Amino acid sequence: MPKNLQQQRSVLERRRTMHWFHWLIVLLSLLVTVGAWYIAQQQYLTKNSLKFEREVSKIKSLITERMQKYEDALSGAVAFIQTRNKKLDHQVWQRYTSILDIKKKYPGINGIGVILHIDRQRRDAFLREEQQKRKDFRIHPTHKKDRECLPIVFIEPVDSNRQAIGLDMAHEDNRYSSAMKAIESGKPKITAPIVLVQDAYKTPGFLFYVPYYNKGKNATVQERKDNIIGMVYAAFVVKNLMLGVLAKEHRYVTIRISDGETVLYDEHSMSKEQVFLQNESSLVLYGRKWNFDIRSNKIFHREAASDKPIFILIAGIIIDTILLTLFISLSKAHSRALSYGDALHHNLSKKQQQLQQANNELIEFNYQLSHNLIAPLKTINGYVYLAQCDVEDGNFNTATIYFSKIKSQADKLKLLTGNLSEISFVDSLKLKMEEINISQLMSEMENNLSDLCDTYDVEITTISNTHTTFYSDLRCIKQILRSLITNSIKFSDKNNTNKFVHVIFEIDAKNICIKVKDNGVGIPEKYRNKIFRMFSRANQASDGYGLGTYMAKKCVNLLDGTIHFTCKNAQTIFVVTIPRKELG
Amino acid sequence: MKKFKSVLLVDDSKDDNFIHQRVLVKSELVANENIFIKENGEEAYDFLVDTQNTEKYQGIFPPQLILLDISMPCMDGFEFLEEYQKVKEQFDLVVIVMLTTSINSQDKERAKKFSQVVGYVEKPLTKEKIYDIHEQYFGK
Repeated sequence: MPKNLQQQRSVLERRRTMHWFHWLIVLLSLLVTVGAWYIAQQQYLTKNSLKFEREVSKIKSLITERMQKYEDALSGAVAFIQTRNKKLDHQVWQRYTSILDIKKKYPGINGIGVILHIDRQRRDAFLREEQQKRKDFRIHPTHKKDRECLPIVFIEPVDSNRQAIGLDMAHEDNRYSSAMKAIESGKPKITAPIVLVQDAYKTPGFLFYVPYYNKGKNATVQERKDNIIGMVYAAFVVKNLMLGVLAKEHRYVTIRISDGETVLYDEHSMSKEQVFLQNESSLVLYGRKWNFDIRSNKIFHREAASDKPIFILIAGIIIDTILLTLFISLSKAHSRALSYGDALHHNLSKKQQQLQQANNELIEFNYQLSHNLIAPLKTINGYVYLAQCDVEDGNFNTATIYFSKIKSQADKLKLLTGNLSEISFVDSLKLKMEEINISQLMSEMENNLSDLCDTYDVEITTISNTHTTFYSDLRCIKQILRSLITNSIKFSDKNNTNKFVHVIFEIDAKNICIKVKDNGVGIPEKYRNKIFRMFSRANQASDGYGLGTYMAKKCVNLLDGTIHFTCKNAQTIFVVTIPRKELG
Repeated sequence: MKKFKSVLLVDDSKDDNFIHQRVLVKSELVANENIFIKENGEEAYDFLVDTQNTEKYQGIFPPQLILLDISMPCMDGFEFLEEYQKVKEQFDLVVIVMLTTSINSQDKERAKKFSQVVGYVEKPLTKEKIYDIHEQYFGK
């Protein structure tokens, strides 16, 4: 193989398999994919937690704002009461609250009312005084705590809060302590969790107090204690409050609010979802610390959900797979190209060998042919020279002998050219299959060769098995038989008195087998491998050109058959085997 | 003129042997009975290496000149020369002249490589050609 082809081949050879840089490219692109996925994932998480923080602060500020609004309403009521000179009565309160329209403007408030601060000594006098105005008024429940009396005197709306009228705030610690804090500080306060007496469902609630005083400085705790008149208050059921605050909001979070150990409001228990984002914080509201536990809900995650990171990951992996497939298929293509090239090269060198052989044969043929053509001419030249010499010497008797010798040389040339035209005939022969009758064929052969048989005193015997005919090309079969039989006759043993040539036809289902057997001189050992060559003569006695067996072999090849011979026990057998073609 | 004691003709063509024999006799460089004829290389070799021949052909064996053809059955001229190489020491006074139809230059070159081959003559042999060979042999 030339050097540059060898180099190209080794380049292909290297590309047959995947190399480290292919793997590196695949690995790097895999890393880029995972990296991009990770960054996208982180961005997604950050974005979500920011959104969640916004939701939390929104919820908390909504609640703070709402409480501020209630405080404003209560402070408004205080201002209303303090600007009146007359004593407050039930009808006025009812009127005021109906103008205020709490149901509409302050949703979440269960009721808004007035609590008076009555010293223990004045309790009975107050009760008598009140009962003159409304007979069924009483202060409840009775308790033995040594505290001032803090009864609810008015509340609106009355129908849903009837049980609260006359309720003494001092009967219970949570209500009382927050009320006292409001009185002492002069600031709005809310109670710790309580259950409102008017709440049929007994859910958590609280009270919101705003105190008001007699005119004066009211700068110190003592002054405020001395001048206290009462408080405007509002009652809340937390559940209702939250409905008011958050009802119409599109909710992304669930909330739990607790005051100390007591849960005020809880949405979590309703859903058993997995918690993704959670915020726990507290808010100080009017003297109480409310703890918030806020969690993201389903809607939050549905809206926040992003396919981007997973899309990046899948797309990246698909690209990597394509890349890998590409590399593998490239390697395979190289491998195939290499195999194809190798096969082509192998084929070509085989063809080249065949051509070389054909060429060698042609050179040999040329050499032998020129020799065989020139030799008789030179011999003729020799005889002419001898004749000239004899004539010059005055000897004319020999001339006739020389002329006949010259003629026989000319005949020899004629025979050679005849043989050559037969060879070219076989070379250009197109097979013509026909039915051949064995006895007809052999009687024709015997006829043609009868002169030769007489000269050598040899008899031809035909032996055939059951078949009387076979199917083949008659011209080829004749050529084969003529060559083989002629050789058998020519090389018969002069000293043998019982010379024979047997032509045996053995035809079976597959093959036509023709054997030509003789007891002639045989073929010398060293000539056996040259038997079928052109111009190859095995024996001194040969007077031909060594073309007979060559032609026979050519014909056998045309019929896709084989020819071989054996020399054993003073017998030479040529065996021709031809596959039967009429069977298709 | 000094004659060849004997000459060996090696050629498969009976006609050529006949012609060459006649020309040799006519040239009067060798007596008719001192011409040996062998029809191929093998016969010639066997003839040369047969020790009995020294006695049988007393005084004229081995032949002083061998006229050797190339194209012959059994053993051709070149095959003969290859075999002859092995025994040439016994025949140091023998010269070989190729006498052949071949006008192929490759054959000529190939023949010259053998030291015993002193000439290359084209057939047919003539008196002039044999005189040249004779001069070459005895003229030294």
